Amino acid sequence: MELSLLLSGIETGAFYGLVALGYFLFLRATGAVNFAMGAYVMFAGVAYGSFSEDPSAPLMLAIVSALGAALLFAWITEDGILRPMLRRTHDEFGAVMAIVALMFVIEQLAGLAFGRRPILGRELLDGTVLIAGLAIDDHDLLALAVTVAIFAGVAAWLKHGRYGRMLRAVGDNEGAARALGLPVRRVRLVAVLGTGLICGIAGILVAPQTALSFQSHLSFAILGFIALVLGGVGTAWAPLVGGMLVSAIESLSARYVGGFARDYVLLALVILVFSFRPQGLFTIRVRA
Amino acid sequence: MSRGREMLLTLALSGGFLGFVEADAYRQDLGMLAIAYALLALGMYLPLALCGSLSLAYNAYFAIGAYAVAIIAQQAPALLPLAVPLAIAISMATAALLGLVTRKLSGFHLAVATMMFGIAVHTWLQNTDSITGGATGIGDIPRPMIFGWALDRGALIGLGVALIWLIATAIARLRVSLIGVAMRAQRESEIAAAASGVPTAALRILALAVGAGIATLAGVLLAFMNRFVLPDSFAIKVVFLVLFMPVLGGLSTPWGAVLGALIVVAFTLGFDFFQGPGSLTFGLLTLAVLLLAPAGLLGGFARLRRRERSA
Amino acid sequence: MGTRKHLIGIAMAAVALGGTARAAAPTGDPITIGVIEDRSGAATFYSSESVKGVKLFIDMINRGEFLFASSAVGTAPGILGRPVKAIFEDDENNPNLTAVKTRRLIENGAQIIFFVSGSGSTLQGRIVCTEQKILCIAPTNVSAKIVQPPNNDYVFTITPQSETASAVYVEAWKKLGYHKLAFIEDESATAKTVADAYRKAFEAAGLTRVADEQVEASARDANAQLLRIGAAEPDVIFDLIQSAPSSANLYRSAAKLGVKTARWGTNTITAQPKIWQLAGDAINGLLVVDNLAPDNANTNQVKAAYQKQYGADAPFVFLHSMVWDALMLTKKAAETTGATDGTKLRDAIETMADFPSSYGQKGNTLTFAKDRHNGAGSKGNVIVQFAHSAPSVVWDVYQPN
Repeated sequence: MELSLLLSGIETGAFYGLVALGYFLFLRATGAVNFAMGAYVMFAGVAYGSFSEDPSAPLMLAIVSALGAALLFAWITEDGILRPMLRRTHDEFGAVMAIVALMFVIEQLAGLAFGRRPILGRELLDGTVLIAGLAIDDHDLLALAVTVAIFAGVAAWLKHGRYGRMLRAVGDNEGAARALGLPVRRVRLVAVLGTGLICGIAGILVAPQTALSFQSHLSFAILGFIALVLGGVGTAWAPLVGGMLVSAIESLSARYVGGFARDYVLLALVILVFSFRPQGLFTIRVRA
Repeated sequence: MSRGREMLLTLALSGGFLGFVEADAYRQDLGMLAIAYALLALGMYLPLALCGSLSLAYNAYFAIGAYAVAIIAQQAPALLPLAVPLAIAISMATAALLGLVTRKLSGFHLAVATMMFGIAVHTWLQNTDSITGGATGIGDIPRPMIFGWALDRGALIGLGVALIWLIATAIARLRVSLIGVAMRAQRESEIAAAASGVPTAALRILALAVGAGIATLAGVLLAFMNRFVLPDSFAIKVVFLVLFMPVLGGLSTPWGAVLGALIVVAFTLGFDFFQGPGSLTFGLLTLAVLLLAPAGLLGGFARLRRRERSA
Repeated sequence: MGTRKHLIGIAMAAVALGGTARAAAPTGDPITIGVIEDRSGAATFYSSESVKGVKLFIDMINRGEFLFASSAVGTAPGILGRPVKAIFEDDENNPNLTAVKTRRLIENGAQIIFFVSGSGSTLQGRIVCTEQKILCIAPTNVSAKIVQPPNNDYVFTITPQSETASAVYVEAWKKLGYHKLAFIEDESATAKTVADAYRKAFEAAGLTRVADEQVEASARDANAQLLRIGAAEPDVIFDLIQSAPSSANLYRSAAKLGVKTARWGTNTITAQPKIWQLAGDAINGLLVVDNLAPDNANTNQVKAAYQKQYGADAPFVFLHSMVWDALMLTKKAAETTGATDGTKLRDAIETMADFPSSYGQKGNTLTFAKDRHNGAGSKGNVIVQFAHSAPSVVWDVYQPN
């Protein structure tokens, strides 16, 4: 595979990895698979793109609004939707529907607020470097660095952070955790807000790389979820591995067959993986 | 409401709808769209409300109905009368197969797997130029003939309304029949139902297949109405619209799905006021219903309780 | 003294009155033009340009400013003495919605329909024109299928069709000795319609297509496609991508990969300044069969009026010219027949020959007939090259006619 493809594959893989990390954290905190996260990323990206499109506009404003929006949506999902719904009934179906509805609402909100045209955001860093005869944008290198930093940070937090360590307990068995006196609500909130932050950053990083529009979120949500499934939930770095795998499949099928092949390959993959783990990924298992 | 009274009421409302919609060409367009969505929503309602099975592959069955008509009209016009039963058979087989392959999945995993299938079908429609005409689709579909009489737009709408009334009434009956009760039992507790001798897996697959068949009719009617098919009508986002309809209207009766379809079409296309924020409005409405009035507009959501998630 | 002032006052009043009488503001029921645009789909970046033209030129019509066209349509403001207004519907570049939205425009009072979304949309929307017997013009679409049966009897187009433009490409490439082509397009219905027309034309002309690639709307680059194209070793890469961000992507990727193969594109690119802005320097060197020439006085008049309104930095593209011509044709047709009845308007346009146009080479005119609903003539195309991220250079190697 040519170097240029490898590089753009890595960039894309990093992005999917971030989305998968968001799923991972949210899942650990609440037990729910949050499809609406793709919409957080899209909204943040579109917001950032809209505010940064004009070269004279202050970049900080764009960044802050993007992050703020993502955090807000994450918080609404947890406190406004999931906790009230799951408190009323242990109703997974209702939660699925509510998350899908929220995803739709965020999409339409983005379309209304920022228009429906594709928007390309401003790069965080201008300039390019030459590596092995290939021109690489500084922004893309920054995106990679930030991604790695985020993963490292989350891994460290899960291992050493006060709420991070509690997260594993809370995610596994909320009732028991509560009985043990852990501040369940706070832990969940911190994790969920962390997810929002990650989604916001992902949106800002991807906005200058590919033109986003209000309907871009669905592919993020699906590909991010597949990345999580492929990578597994063993460690905090697993989503990144999954992201790279999904990106590799995308690139290879585009290079050797044609862009459309990706959807067929991913479908086959999803069915296969789900068939071998039909109970899903997230069952109780005895931990060493 | 008694069975007889419900039938009369829905019959009257259907008649009213027909009168309203036949008034001019634009209303006919909206009416047919509402009919297609209502059929899709009914198709989704059956496995969802009765078996608790959430499949998101409905754009595929929608497409099968429409493209079967289009392709046969183009390649073998003499066989056009066979297009409808053929399309339904293909959809039901596809749904059964998909149901089999995903039988152990539930919740989000099932949603993702079926959604990916729907996306793959849409991709196939867009890229297989030789069969489906690719991005420009297939046009020049003739009007359907019944006993030598060509159905025009108005007649097609009448046919659509009649189909919806028949199917919704049949599903309402099914809900309280032996099979319906068995389905709802296995939704409440699969173990108990299986222990009582209910063939749970078979019922679920049956529900999925029949639902797919109903959705296929939506595609058939739309193809005959518009006289062309394009892949864009069958993208996965249709599924999300359709998903909200039974929820909005209420899951205790199939008429909730029909009501939901009317609301969605009215909000997104019908009212001038709602043009821009129409979709946002009904999205918020759905969210509100889910959070505050889970019974939906017609009531009964609270009774849809999944079996306790095994920890 | 008082008398003199008095006299001057009366004189001024007389001049003022005389001036107003000369250009009486249009009165009465407005003539409504229904416009199908794309505000949210892949065609939005060129549709929005057309809409800018529609709004400005309708204002100019209502003010009686007809520029060079006054020789054909006179100077009376409005149409039939009535003000013109436009109402808009968004078809989201989704041909499924076009017919529905067109019917909606008509229900809301439109007497004439302009299609400024993609060709794919117009192909489906024109069904309504025949059904309701309403004059429809698709000023900016290039597909010949629009004016071919079925359902073509009430719709007219103005831009030279892809089929005509293809002959220009063939001539140019033969001059340069190019034989092998690589096509690259996107997934839209319009791209396919246009690409199919070019594929057929080039095959008939004896050129070989060695690659046929598609880009996805959401892709971040076109590297995979360019690498596959490179492996086929074409003489020229022909860009048929309709969506602005995807097109810009292509040029940025090509620049990054250091692609040396000649690049040619269609007037979709010259129609969307957004592409030039997004692609930046990467677009320089691109050659396009466009429709504007710098020495066409008519063009320059309309351009001046456009830039007076939207700023000297606002690029004037062929879309604006086409919209201008469509409006002038509409006025002429209505005033020839004295009616807004679709059939009469249609018949009137079919009789128009050598109608002065605002695009193309100097002296370009529009001619219609019963079996000729595309009015473009042989002088409609101009080959231009991109420099400084704009189509600023008229190609000196070859020009049609």
